[in-house]
Amino acid sequence: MMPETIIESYSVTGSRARMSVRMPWYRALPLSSVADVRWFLDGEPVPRESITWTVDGTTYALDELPPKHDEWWYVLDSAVIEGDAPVENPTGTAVTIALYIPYITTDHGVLLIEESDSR
Amino acid sequence: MIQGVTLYSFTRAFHQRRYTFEQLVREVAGRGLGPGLEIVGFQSIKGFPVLTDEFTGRFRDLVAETGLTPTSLAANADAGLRRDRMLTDDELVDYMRPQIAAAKALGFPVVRVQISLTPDDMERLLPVAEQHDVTLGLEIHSHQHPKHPAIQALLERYEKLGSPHLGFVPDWGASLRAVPSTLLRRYSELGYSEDLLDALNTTWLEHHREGPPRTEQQHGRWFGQVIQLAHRHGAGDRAIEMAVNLTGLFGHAPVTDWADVLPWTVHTHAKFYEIDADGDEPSVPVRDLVALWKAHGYRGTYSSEWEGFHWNAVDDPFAMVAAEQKLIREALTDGH
Repeated sequence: MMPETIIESYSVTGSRARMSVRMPWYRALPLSSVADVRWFLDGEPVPRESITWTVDGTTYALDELPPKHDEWWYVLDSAVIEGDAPVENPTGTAVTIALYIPYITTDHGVLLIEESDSR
Repeated sequence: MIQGVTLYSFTRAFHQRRYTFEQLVREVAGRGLGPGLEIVGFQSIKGFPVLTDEFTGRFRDLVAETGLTPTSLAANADAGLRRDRMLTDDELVDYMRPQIAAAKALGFPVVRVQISLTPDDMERLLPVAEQHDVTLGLEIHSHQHPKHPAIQALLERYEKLGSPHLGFVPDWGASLRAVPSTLLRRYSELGYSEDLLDALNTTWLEHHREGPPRTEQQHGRWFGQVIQLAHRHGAGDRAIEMAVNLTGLFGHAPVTDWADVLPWTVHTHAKFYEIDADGDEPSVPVRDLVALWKAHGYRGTYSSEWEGFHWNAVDDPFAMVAAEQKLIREALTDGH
């Protein structure tokens, strides 16, 4: 939903990249809903294991998010993702955020959406 | 009977931080889009379902000042909260309790709840609803529909329990007559081929002839069919979205199917996507739905819910809601 609103801003300082993102959904979701972040700078992937996720002042590695079903990402709050930059001075970035939608289940399981944006 | 709106219709304005929650409420009142006011707890309130006294007081003052009527607090039955397993029935019932209490604290007479709740769950929540003197309205939302076995099972339980604290919230998105043209136009603007758009539309019409899905497997098959279709036409990046839209938002229930649940209807999501030059809704048969609701003596709220914002960032959501409310008013006076 509203994927074009995901990327607010991004920057690379030295070897670290930083991006501020908005939720491509309409209501607060538990951190356990954040299934994956796939992030590219000039087409080169930011290594997944280097990516951290910060919301409301607390920072997690991506793999620390799934058990956090009692902590929340509020819909108006930006999340900040940081990771090892694969290139210096990139000219563009792209990101895909995969989110579980906890109240929608289908024959395929809990709905998992993937929303992408680029700059 | 009253008209009103859910703030969900203004999601884009809120999400983009162009309007605060309070400003949206004032805008609804100022533009005469009430008096009914519906909100989504997890959208409008940070920290929901925990409410601070400060928020509760401010909201009650805002309602008094604007003269709006709180209609429904949309709660969520997040059965898929955890990654390791689904919530148990005990956990899901407990998850709903503070949301029901929040509705009472804020002055909402109806709590919209969702399909993950079974008839047993609803029976267990009945004393909670009685304690807070609110009514639990289970939303009938595509891909479910009035004749879906899960809804029929709830209806049977409601009839057995016979409580005014239990009911349904029909969402008109379960009864579309066409894929919204604004969505197809948007996909075209994004560069997807006319072949894909034709195939999406043809697939939806095939499903429409099949009728609303009676089993989860049938819906799952449709979902997979749209995913594959999108991939075949180079739209893999939007495959899930297309499947959600085509099989999850645009339902196939004949209007007359709603007759079963209208005696138990406590609130209505007057879902719509677009309004044409004649003031009609080409994808949702609003006039026919209102005629049926009227014939059954419906006395609740028509809560306008504009969901076109998913793909339409151009039209003014306040004007869209005003246009649907006008259409509903005309339909209500038809035949008089």
